[in-house]
Amino acid sequence: MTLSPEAFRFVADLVRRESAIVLETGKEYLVDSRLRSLAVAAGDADVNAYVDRLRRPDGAREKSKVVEAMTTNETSWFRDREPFQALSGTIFQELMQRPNASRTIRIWSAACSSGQEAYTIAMLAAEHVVPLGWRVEIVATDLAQSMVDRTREGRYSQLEIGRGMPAPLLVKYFQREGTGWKVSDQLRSMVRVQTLNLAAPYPPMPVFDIVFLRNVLIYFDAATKKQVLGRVRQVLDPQGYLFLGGAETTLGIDDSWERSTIGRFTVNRPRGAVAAPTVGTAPLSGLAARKVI
Amino acid sequence: MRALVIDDSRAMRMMIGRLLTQQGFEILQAGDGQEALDVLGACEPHELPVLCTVDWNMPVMDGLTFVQSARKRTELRDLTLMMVTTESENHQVVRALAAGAHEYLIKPFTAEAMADKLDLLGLDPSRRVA
Amino acid sequence: MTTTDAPADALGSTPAAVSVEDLQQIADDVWATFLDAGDVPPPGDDAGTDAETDPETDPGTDAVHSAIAVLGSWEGQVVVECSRTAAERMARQMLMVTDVTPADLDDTVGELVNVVGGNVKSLVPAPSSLGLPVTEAGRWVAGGAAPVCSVHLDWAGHPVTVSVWSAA
Repeated sequence: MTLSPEAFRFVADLVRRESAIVLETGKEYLVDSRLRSLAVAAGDADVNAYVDRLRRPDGAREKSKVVEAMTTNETSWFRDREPFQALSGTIFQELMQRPNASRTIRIWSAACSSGQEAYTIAMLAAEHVVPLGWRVEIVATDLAQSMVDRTREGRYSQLEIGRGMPAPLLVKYFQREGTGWKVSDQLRSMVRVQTLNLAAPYPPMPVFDIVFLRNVLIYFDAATKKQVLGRVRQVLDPQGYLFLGGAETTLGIDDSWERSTIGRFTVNRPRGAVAAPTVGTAPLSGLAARKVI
Repeated sequence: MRALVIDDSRAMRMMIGRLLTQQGFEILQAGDGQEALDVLGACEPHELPVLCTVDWNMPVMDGLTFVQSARKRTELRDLTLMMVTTESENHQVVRALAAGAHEYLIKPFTAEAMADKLDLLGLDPSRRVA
Repeated sequence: MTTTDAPADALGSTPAAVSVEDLQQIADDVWATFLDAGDVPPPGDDAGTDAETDPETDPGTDAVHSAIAVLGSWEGQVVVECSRTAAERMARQMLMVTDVTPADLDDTVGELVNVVGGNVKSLVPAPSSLGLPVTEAGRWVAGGAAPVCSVHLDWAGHPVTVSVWSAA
């Protein structure tokens, strides 16, 4: 029994909506294999019957299991790499050159999913900022309570860890726990997690130096995109930085932003922000460690 | 661009070799650390692989010993060494890195995980062309 | 040394920290990555015909097993057991051969138990090390070993059993 095209499309739409992860045609076998045990557990004859169950009004709980089963192992640490090179090689240094009495950098990981982005930022901060006597506070938010819980727990399976975690950082910031790995107390203490709906008015928030809003806007219509960018603008320092996904832009949506280039990477800043100093992108610590003998 | 896959299991050499072939590598194979040193020793400088994937538990010479030996040879200084092993305790990863391994991939792993590691090491096809 | 994790004197009386959930996770991951969703989907026609023309589902009639020893603070065996038909299909897929030799079969099932065993080893008290896998025809005979836990997988219609035993 193979997965029907309708069932695949339903699951792909669900996963894209809930997690921003795109399942391309050709990944039917992946859906089939990942959902087989859920189908068995639900007492369904096959995955097609299980997907029919998801469509019923009482399918909400099973839907969240499907999103988790399909997105597990699909989120990379240091996802896209360039944003994190710009962060650790240039932006952290620029922020620490400013007068800042509290010596604190505040960062928002919006739509944090299972927390890989927030903890990636925390690792870079622990490497490049904390040793210089500065503090980094990271707020990680997601619409889904299940994702907020996962981020707070900070426990990742072996396969999740396999997705792009540099080995030197793994052994420094994670401990084995059962079949997986648990994030260290040091990183956890840097990350505060809460639920938040980006498309609704925000609760009181601190002013952030950096906002990561990656691969989220693409799922909103133009009017909502503009609203979200406007609200983000209100919680971002006038000299701050906004990270969007590789396929996302503020152009043509909200003209209160301008683009600034750091190495190969483009970051968005509130219009009128002082241009970033042209610092070359330094290699990420713990990444590309070759050539060291 | 060549890669040397070192593993005592032929099934595993095939699997890793397939993934690396998809990433544009030409594959050499060895069934243990000593055979790997022999393969490397027989290469002219321009024929040397850029990457070795190294299993840990192998007969004759294990992967950790191979890494230590390879790191002592100046002619192999540009070789990137990645452990690909079922050894998954924190202290084992620490030992391998201390011995000179550059990266560490724990079995089992997905094709995407292998691609992510190559990306970390600057060995993925898109970066190599640049 | 704390009282809670002090090793007991007698071999095998230290409780192994391997739960059914842990073993299921390990086994699912190994088969899903190495024999399913890893790179290419298994050929559809092969999957169809093989499952349909293979009437046996009880591995007892023509079974293959591979066992690997965990040695050290905790001692025991990790075992993978399946039908010969299933083992041959796994070998065909992992080795990309059409005719499976006995050496191919040893290598494939041996590597699968090796990977499961390595992950099980990380759950039991350190220090410990892995032996070399031993693949044989027939069902696994436990001898004096005591069962710790076992899980069953369905791989492409074939039952596969993965079990952990402590040396008694």
